Amino acid sequence: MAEVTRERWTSRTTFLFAAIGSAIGLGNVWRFPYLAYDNGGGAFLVAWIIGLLILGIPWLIMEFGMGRMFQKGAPGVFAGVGKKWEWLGWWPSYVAFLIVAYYAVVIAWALRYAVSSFTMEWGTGEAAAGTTADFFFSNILNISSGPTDFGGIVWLTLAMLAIVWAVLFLIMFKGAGVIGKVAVYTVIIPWVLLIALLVRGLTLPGAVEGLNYYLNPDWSALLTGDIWFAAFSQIAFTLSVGMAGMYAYGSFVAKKADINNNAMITGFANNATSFLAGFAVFSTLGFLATSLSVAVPDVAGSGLGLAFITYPAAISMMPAANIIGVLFFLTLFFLGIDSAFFLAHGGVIAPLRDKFGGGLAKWTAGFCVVAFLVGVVFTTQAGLYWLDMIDRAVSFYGLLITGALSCIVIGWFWKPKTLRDHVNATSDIKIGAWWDWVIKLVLPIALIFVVIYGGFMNDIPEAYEGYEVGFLNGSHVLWIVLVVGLILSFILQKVKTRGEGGE
Amino acid sequence: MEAGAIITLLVFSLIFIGGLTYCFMQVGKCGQWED
Repeated sequence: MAEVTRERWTSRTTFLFAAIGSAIGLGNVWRFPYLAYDNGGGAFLVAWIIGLLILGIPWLIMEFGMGRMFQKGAPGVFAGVGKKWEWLGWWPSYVAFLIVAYYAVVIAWALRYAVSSFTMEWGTGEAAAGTTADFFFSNILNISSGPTDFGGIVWLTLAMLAIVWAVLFLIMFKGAGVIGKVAVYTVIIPWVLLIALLVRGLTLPGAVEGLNYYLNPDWSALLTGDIWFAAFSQIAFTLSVGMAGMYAYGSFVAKKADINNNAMITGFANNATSFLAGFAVFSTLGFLATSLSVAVPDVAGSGLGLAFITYPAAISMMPAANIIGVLFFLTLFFLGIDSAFFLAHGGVIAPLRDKFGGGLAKWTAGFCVVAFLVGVVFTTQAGLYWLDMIDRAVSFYGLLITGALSCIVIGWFWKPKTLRDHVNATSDIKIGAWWDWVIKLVLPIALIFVVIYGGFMNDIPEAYEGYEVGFLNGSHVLWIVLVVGLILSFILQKVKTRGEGGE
Repeated sequence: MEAGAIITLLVFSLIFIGGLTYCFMQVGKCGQWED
């Protein structure tokens, strides 16, 4: 059996920053603000806080606690629950692998835009504001006609992707000790940059109009299913739970260290960051709407469109546009990079070392090369189509389904009270028996509700986004990606464990 | 800024500041701050 010394966080501070850094990511900036605006403003925030308290924090406690208790990443944790469940740890590891493969490409785009901002490559003034979509699709993506029309590789994006993976390797190859220290900077820097963007946004004409759309409550929204779907899904996606990594991050925590309070601090810090980002985004959207003499809803958007089309349009009309552009895209870069090393290291590399043993640097180098090569498909002219489909398959279905199954297995086929006693023994804040029932019932039901309401009801009757991939359609691709992950997970379960704590 | 937006701003700022302050006040009650 190969001997592997378990990595450790050097202090509680570094663990907290690593956990917060993994939670806060691009979604805090480009997904949350739009969801709030689109689902009743202040009313959405109420549903979202309820989601944090009854779903997000209990889920974080479960993943941190199981990792700390078994001293393993996700597959090792579920092998500890019962050898027949090990696959349930590998499935979210597969989810993490695919997410980080395309997430790194999005970070590469942000880096590309940061460089372009120095010269305001997409132009300045009101005329340029109308051309940012064309700049993104033509200059950055050189997008093709469909998923099977790969065209060629966009070499500048590939070069940026190589830089991103080189940075990730340098951060990860020495393990949790260095990751925790780097995370202090990759969390604080985007906070400072967000505050700078917030101050800039608030001093622009039209900012208040944007904030009214962001915050004004529509209480009747609380009576609809949409707001609860949006709030629960945002909580599930934003905390980086269900992606295997939090088990490993919990396993790097010392035996006597706190779990519950750390989970609460992580959850509150993540949501506070989203709340803050909403001000930076909507003050800027208010400015853009005022400048273009349109209403805020006409410019409000989310996702890649907000980051790479709408925000650049607003930037192009600001004084000192290139400085704001660099600040904004560096914010995205730093927000993304710590989520990326969380997914790579916690989600995949640590579980592989648990299983097979071996040196961290070699595993890290091998992983970075493989993930880079997989990411090449997203740098082709058809990359955006594949990114969209893989994102839907793993970041939506994969995360939610494996999350629900994990809760069911831990809640019903194992002993949640044992875990509760374990985390309470060393935690500042104790959790009661209610937590067992959140794991057993509330979380699985909420996650399955999101899968059915936001997923199956759309993607089963109709092809996802109308994509055609040869004789398959977009939805077929989603199911294939998920089933391939499931099969690989069972194969890995059958392989003999050779790492620390093997049979 | 409209009244509803101001109230939302104040209430949720208090929730986050209060929540995080509470958590940090509990630090050291049982778990160790430095591992």
